[in-house]
Amino acid sequence: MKHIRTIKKGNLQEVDSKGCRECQTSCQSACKTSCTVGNQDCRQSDEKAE
Amino acid sequence: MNNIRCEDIHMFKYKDMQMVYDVNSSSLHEVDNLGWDLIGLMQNGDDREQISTLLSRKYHYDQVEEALLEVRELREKKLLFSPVPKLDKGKLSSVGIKALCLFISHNCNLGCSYCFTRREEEKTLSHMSWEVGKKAVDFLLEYEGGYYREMDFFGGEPLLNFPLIRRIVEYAREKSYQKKKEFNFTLTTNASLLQDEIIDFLNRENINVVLSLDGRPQIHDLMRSFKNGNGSYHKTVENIKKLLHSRENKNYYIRGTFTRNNLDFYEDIEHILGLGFDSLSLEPVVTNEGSLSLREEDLHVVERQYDRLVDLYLERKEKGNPFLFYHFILDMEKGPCLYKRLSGCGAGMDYLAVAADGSLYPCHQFVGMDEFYMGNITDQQVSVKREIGERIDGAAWQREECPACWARYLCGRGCAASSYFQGGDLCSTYKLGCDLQKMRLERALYLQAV
Repeated sequence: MKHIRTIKKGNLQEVDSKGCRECQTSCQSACKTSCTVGNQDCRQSDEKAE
Repeated sequence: MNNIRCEDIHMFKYKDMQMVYDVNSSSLHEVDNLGWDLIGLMQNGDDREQISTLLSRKYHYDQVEEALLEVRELREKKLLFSPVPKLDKGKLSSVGIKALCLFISHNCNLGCSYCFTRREEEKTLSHMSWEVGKKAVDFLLEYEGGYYREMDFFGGEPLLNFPLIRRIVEYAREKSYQKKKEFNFTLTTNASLLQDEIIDFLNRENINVVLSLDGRPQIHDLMRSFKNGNGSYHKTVENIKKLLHSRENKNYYIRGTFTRNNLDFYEDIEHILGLGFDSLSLEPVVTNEGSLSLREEDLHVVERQYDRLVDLYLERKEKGNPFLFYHFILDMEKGPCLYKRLSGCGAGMDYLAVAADGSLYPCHQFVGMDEFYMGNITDQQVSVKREIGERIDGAAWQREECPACWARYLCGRGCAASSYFQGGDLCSTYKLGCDLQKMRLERALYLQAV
């Protein structure tokens, strides 16, 4: 494409197989005073997860 | 091109780049001038014919058609002007409590000026007992679903009660093995009490550490002094170095705070990096103490610090010496799903804080507040007042500004405690916090592009 360069294809349209809630709870990580989730990992690919 | 909602697209310029963030897919695009003008007009709701006419005054007709085709293609792929995702609302409700923040001790050997746990410290100075710690493990394992459990050792200073941490970890490892679950532990500490025996234990048990260090000695010591008034900088840095050396600089975050005293906090980040610590988070203070709290008029100074940080981030990356800044990390392609983004930190729902006496609260910032008391973990039949968690969760959906905010899927719907303490009630928006969040997010998005 000449006028629009896609930098990242986001994953938010994929909802069907998601929502397992195995990911880390935000406040258990570094911030403790501000909620940020964009920087968390998705653990769904982890084979240990149910 | 109907049904375009302006709140679903965020267009911003940073340095020499023009970027378009598609909110509903979380996709990011860089556009040229024509793309910028075109998407801007579409966002305003102009129809195709109007847009084509308007743009043909400035650009060649063929180019306009070309750009329109590009937009159409991206729209079909749901990467631009993508629709609002259809959610299964059942998946948004709490599945069970899987994370606890334990106040291993409400005592602290430091007396930091901005500490939000002082409120509880003033009421009860105490260590958590084994009875409470053991019940916390059992409580987390009562929930049958999922695989992972999380526990954060917090305080006060948790290492003042280190024997309890060791006992809890040993017990949790044994019990979780039986139940086919896995515990992940985090220790949040001021680092001043880290001794070899403790370090060995933390490494052996693979415990993540969040280490409090604010930056330059004069800044750190101004805020973080021992009870006798002496600064804690030297002891803190000495111990952090020892710990990180022993774990090959892995599994840690330096977590600092900046206040009105160091609006030039870029200097503190540079100082921390200069010490060899390359995984860090420097958070804006959350306090009502007027001399420390950030104000609207400080934002431009703070913004300048984040800009300098972006430059440094890129410079060090290019030299093969990168560092992690917590708020610049974004995984847009394999990061958290929409359900996670909308359930946020899970305070009062998936995540609770446990005070030393076993009292339960929605999160560590509400500990000690009767209004948010959710029960006691030592009761024979623990009855958790889930309605308090639901009140917090429900309030997040009632914040007026959020549905139209471009950052609504990136911020975790904000921090309930910030809304309550800074904004006045759970349904309010802590505007300054949101402004800072968006400031950091635009830079994090930019860093995805370069």
